[in-house]
Amino acid sequence: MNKVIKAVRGMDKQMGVILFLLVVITIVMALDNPYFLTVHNFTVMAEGFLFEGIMALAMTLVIVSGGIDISVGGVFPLSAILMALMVRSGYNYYLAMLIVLLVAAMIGFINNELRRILKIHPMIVTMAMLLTLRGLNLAITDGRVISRLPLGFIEMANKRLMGLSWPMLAYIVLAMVWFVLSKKQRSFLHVYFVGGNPASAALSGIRTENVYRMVYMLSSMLAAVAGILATMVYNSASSNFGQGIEMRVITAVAIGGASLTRGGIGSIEGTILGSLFLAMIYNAFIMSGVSAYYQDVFTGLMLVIAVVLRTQVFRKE
Amino acid sequence: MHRKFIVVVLALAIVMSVFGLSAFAQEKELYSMIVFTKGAEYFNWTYAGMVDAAKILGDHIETELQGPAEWDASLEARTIDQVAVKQPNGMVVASADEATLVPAINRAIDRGIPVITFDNDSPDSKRLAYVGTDNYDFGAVGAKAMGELLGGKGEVAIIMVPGAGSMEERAAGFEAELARSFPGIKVATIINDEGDVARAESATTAALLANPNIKGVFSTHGYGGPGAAAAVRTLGRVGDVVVIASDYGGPVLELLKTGEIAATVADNPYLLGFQAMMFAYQAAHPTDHPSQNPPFGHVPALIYGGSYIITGEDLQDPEIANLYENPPQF
Repeated sequence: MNKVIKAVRGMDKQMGVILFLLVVITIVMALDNPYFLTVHNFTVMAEGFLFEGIMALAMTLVIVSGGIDISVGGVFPLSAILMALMVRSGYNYYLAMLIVLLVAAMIGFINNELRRILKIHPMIVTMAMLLTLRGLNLAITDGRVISRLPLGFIEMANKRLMGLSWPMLAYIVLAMVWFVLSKKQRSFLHVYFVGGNPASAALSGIRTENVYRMVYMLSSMLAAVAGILATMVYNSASSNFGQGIEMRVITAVAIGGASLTRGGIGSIEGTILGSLFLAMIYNAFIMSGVSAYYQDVFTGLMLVIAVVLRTQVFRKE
Repeated sequence: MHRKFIVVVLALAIVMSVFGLSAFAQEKELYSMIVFTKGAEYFNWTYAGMVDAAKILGDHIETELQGPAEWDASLEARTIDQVAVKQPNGMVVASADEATLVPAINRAIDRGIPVITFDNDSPDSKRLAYVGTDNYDFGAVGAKAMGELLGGKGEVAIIMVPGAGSMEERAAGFEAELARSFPGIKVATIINDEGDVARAESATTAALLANPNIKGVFSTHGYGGPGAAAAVRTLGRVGDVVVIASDYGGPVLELLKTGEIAATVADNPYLLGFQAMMFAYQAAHPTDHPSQNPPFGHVPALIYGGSYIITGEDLQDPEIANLYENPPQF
């Protein structure tokens, strides 16, 4: 018990607030709806936000590096579409996944090169990429859903390991890896350094461009992982997948305490909590039957509160 | 001591009466409508139908409208999974596309929740029934109006996006009905406007200039009518070329009143929602007679809501005009 209290005391205050809100929402919802506090609901709740959750891990690094990556909203459906097309035309599933990841890595690479060479804000570069990819997705699919995937693929996709679906498994593994790397691995630590103060990072011998390239490529690649998983979950792919997903991803990262205006601030554990928080809000609205129109209002308010907490209340002197 | 005892007794009495009353009350039933582009006028009409159907069935029927504001089938699938947790008595679903919702719909069915699709079907899923619009018939209704307005002769054009399933069916129904009932009318050309009002205007202008014999234009979708009407106006041929539109969006209603659109073909979203609710209720209440879809009740697999014509004359009646101009909001 003492250990728990110590752990809570040692925690970032903003994360404490989010954790507190999570508990409050859980209690209120549990009283409102008997189905809320069930294993089934929590599974569905988590699975409803796993794609965003996976993408938010990599987005955290981008934002900590002082940038942003809107293009994930185009990479996600593109990856789902490419995966579905390749699987349908008989490619080996794992080869198809590899190709999708390589394509995504390439897109991340191009994002970063455009940013570096043209010296324009990553928001503009990746927005251009988002539009390009959304158009490309429509062109590839002709606006039609790609379905009727081979039964073997559907069987593989529906398999569960220790009762966990592939997306859940992927998220748990990726979140753990990301968490550990963000605390220990040198190039991940460099992201904080570069984001906090690029000039002094460069002076201390860090190759800042390598850091930027890594974060944009990772961001694209995790969006591709989410896209591949989407094909597996829905047994289909469509250019309309992932509408507004980039905003949900960035919101999760921001609620988790990362700063969109100043690099170097943010944490993986915060982002995980932020993702969990958004997952619960979306679920709570559906469970309570309150009109979903208020969902965005509520999410927006939460974001403002998170930012105010970070910049005004818990500001480190 | 005495006072405490009274308080406890009173508290117990209140609790008991609440439980007692609820035991007498009919058990509540929840039916969920799940759509994509929630907030769209069309789906508000369908939900209005559902709400009215629920009223007929009784006060114990509760309904809710759920679904993403975006046209995103993956988000809609998630909504279905999350709504299913509540174990509603029935779900009525307008599918954002026919494939993506299949796993989610099947999971709901496997949990014993009857699922009825409406407006947009998901035929490969285990859904019990589909309540929709027969687009072939929709086109035929347009052809009858066109034939009468043109007096059975002349050339006409069809606005559509080739390859789009519902528009293809509407166009096919239109052509077939013309050939059957008005053999004097010939379909001269197909105008592809890519579903866009500005493209509809420019493409119709070009078509009318290229072939002055075209006396009628039928749009198979909602935006083509206003575009064609604008083209006819630009060319100064209002009254000479008959425009028949689809659906009853705001611009179509305005142009019906000015007479620049002669008539519009409408499907019946209110009835689709109404009927889907009725089917969900039927499916949730099996009878002793074995049904085709055990453990669910009796529902036909397919039903159409039908299509009809609205003219400017109809809108002269303020009550009717008011109905279309003030769509329900939720």
